[in-house]
Amino acid sequence: MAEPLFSYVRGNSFLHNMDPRVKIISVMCLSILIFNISVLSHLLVLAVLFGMLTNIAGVSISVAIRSLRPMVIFFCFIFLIHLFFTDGSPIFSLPFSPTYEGLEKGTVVTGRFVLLILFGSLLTSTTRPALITSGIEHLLRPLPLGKLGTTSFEVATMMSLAIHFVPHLLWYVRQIKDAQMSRGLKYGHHPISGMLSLAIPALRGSMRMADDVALSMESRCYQGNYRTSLFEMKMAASDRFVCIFVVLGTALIIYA
Amino acid sequence: MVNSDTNTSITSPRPAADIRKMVYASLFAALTAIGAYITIPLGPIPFTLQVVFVLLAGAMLGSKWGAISMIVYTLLGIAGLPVFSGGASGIGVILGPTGGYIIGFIAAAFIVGFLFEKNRTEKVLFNAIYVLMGSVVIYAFGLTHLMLVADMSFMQAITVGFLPFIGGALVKIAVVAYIATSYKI
Repeated sequence: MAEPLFSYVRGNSFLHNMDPRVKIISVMCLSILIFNISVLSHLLVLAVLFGMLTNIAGVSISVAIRSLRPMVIFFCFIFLIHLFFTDGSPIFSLPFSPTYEGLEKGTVVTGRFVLLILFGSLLTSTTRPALITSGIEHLLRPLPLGKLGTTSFEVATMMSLAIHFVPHLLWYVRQIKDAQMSRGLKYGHHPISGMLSLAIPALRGSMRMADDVALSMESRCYQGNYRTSLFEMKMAASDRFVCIFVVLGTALIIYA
Repeated sequence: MVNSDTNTSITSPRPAADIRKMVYASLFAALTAIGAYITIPLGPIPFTLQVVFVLLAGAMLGSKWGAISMIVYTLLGIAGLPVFSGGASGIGVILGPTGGYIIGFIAAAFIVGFLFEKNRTEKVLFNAIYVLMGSVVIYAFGLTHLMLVADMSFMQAITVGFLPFIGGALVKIAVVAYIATSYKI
């Protein structure tokens, strides 16, 4: 059971000090751009841009590489499928051979995903989770969440609550697992009973915890309205400039 | 409330049940997040408890709060917490090859919740069918997304994104149907 890692890297660069809303919008625009790429050289241009931005942020490249690790197996699969199943001129003269077209298509498709994740990791490694949360909350405000029966403030509170629950639950589940193993449970042999013996105690215990939290929120008169936060965001002139530049740039590249 | 007529538009007092549902929604978002870290070895592909908690969120919280709970989970991932399968995070993952499954979680929680609200039964078999529909929704979203973003044919997407997980999916459906029948919030 691996410990979840927070990917935030402390720093004081231009990217670190940028408004989180601008960063979120920029990453979204870049993602749209990345998806419109079908030529290898365009991917390289964005890869160079990524290199420059990491340099500005002063984040080491290994942090970005680490964010790729969970997806590596999946990427390999996708690359191999394109390599072997694309029609075109074969690289070797075997009955079942990779093709040049497949090599190119596979590289472009996998390269896109790699870039997507790298740019995403740039956002998370230069912004505190709390700031991203409040950035998301601000961006959610104009959306009609009222129709769903909730507000952006509540969504933000739920996000903070869930962040608070995660380490607690991880610790709790590990305790349950050890307790069940010491009572002779073998997971691999009986998948259904193995899962039940983990999931049911985990659910019961965590519900008890959630009830306590709900009770304490109720007794403190939680209403789900706007509240001031520890980190207030300020949109500086440079932030506005970057935001307009990125949005206009993306629109121009796509429609021009 | 003193000035109830002047500020009702800003402050609509929430009933206690709503706060409880809200906390439970964040709990299930957290459980879905750690579900990715609880692996149970079975055969060549270890499977995780993630989908179990997604489907349970729908079954136990109902359509509205189940869906909200999965939206919160997705936003946590976007905010950079390593909550997605394998400890991945960021907007890139949502648009990446496995992103469809994550969007599918929201839809699945909603649909399972809806089915459980409409036809509540004590029969495990019926509940299993509802949960099965939820899993179908997850895979439908996941595979469609995979086909679109990775330029794959239907059969290729099935080979990568569905066949390896059938066994695990069936076990999970059985587990969720059992838990949802025996436990209620």
